[in-house]
Amino acid sequence: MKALAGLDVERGRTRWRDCAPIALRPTGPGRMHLVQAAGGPLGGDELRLDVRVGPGADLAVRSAAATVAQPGPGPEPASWQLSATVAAGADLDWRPEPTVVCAGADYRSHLRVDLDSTAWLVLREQVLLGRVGEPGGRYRGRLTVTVGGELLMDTETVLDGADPALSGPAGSGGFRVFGSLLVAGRDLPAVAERADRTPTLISAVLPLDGPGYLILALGRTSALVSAGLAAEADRVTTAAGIAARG
Amino acid sequence: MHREETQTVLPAARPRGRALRIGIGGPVGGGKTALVAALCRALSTELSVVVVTNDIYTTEDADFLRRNGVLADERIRAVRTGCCPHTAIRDDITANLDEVEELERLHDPDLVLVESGGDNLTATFSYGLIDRQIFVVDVAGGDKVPRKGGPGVTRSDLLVINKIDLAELVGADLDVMRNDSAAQRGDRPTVLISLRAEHGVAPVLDWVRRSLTAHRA
Amino acid sequence: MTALAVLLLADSRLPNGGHAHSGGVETTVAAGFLSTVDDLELFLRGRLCTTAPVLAGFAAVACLLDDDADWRRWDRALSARIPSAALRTASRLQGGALLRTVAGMWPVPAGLRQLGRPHQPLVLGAATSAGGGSALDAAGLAVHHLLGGACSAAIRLLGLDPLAVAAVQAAVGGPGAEIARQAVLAAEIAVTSDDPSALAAVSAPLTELLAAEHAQQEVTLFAS
Repeated sequence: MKALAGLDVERGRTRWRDCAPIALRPTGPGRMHLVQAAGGPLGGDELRLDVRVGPGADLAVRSAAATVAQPGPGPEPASWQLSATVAAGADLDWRPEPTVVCAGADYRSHLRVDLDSTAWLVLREQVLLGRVGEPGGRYRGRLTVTVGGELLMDTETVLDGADPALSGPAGSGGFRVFGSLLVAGRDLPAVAERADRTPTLISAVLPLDGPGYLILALGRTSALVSAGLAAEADRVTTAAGIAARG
Repeated sequence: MHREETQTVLPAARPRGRALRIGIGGPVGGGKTALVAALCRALSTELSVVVVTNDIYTTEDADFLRRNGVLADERIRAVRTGCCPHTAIRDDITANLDEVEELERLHDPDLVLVESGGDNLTATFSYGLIDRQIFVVDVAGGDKVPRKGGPGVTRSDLLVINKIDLAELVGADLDVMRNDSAAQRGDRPTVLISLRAEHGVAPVLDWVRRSLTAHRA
Repeated sequence: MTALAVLLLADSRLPNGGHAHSGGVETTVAAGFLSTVDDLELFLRGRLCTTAPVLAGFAAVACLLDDDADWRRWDRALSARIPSAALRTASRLQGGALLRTVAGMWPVPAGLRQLGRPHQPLVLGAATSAGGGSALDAAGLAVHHLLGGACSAAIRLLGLDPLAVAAVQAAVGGPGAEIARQAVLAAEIAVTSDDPSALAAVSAPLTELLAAEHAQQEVTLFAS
């Protein structure tokens, strides 16, 4: 299945174009929910969403349920592409539910966000390798972000629950759940690199080479990873608050 | 306290601008860090001094130097050597050069001390990194050390035999050490000192001051 | 002379700053993910599917670029692929160290020298070109140093049997050479289209996380 959907937000007006299986539903002012047909995407699907956030507009995107990537009839991967531009003074808050990559699935996502130098972005991704009790398939997630035309971040996370090298000591370390939270654009606090580790969760705040920071987490469960990302994000804001007051 | 004649026989120094770079090497526990601290304490009022240490550097070490009023934190840099202290001062001096040059740029010092990590008798500095080097051994390592030789003992610009206050306790014969050193080192100076004694560092200070004068000439 | 120049760049005796870096091994050992020769092999195979294509691609690009290319842009493109500040610093320290050495050996592009401390793969690739080597040599050298640095650090930190480690390094050499070949193809596209996005961008989450942890440790034996 191939689909190209669109979402265009100006201050006070939101327009969108659904394309099965991608559907969008407004759930509040400046807030949209992504609704995907259950049981997808499958191998061979090519889904794409183009988003434009106009000058000074705010857009928050959530999803109704986890995306469950499953094997298709052939060897082709399931592909999901987001291409977003965020204009001057605009905000994009992209935090959908996690993606579950089932055993045997090959899922590729490419999220590309181009920010004006006065725009702001928060973008969260969370990936579960397999449903409960299965090792999980292959995930390749590329994240490309530019700010004011300058490349800020261009990384691809490759996870594979069935590949000992990728799930080993130079991969995901045996953890089943991966999460990342990127904050980029205007008015960012100064961020120091730091990491925390317990037997069930490792998380870190990584200042990028430019206006942005990335919070990463690997953990045993989705709940741990969500909480880990949130806790690190809180620490950044608290530290910035202390610095601002001090 | 024993004072040794420290006549200066120095190799031709490479001109490097104003700062004199002195390497301080020697086996573990001989007193390299104590010597660095004593030199800084004695010289930092008259000279601008910076230190690059290759020793495993803890916040305790930093505290030790800070408490002793030796040097401000920003004048001390630590280099990690990947378990190969001799490599960092001899075969691949790039990381040390980076730190030395950075400190020279920031503080425009008269004197740069580069302290090696504790290694064995064969570990010496490359003259691509430093202008003069001091090799520190102690009497507790046994009075055979100078006779064993090795580039540190034979080729260093100053050999410091430290902890002479312990000689009797460990059964070390200082005359043997002095004679063996002279035999191994020819005209190169050796001093026997105790850094724990009052003014124990004085013979080394004399040598450093004379080296500085020669370097500036 | 070409073969000799490449061997020189492959030799860990060349002052390149590498001995002080463990390629992530020290922190991975400290966190309990690596303790045996088998773990090391898995670690190396993981590096081959994550970091290796990135480093090899940029080394190959630097070998293919003209002297007057926009070196800053390619350097930024590699920075964008390394989220951890500690890892970017490690790459720049080693790039600066190698540049110091090779600038005295061969003519090195002025645009690269002006970066001060460029990322290591760019210096490695430019040096390979200056010494007369090919893009495949440059990519191979990048993979070789990635694997060799990790092996050497594992021996020093864990006391692993160096003969067993040498066997592991040889075993992953075949896949490593294939990574280098693919990296050259990507590099040729990137240079022809003047677009770094054709280059691999893989980063391994555990590597980034543990690099940040390493940087905040009070005492470490390796700089990274």
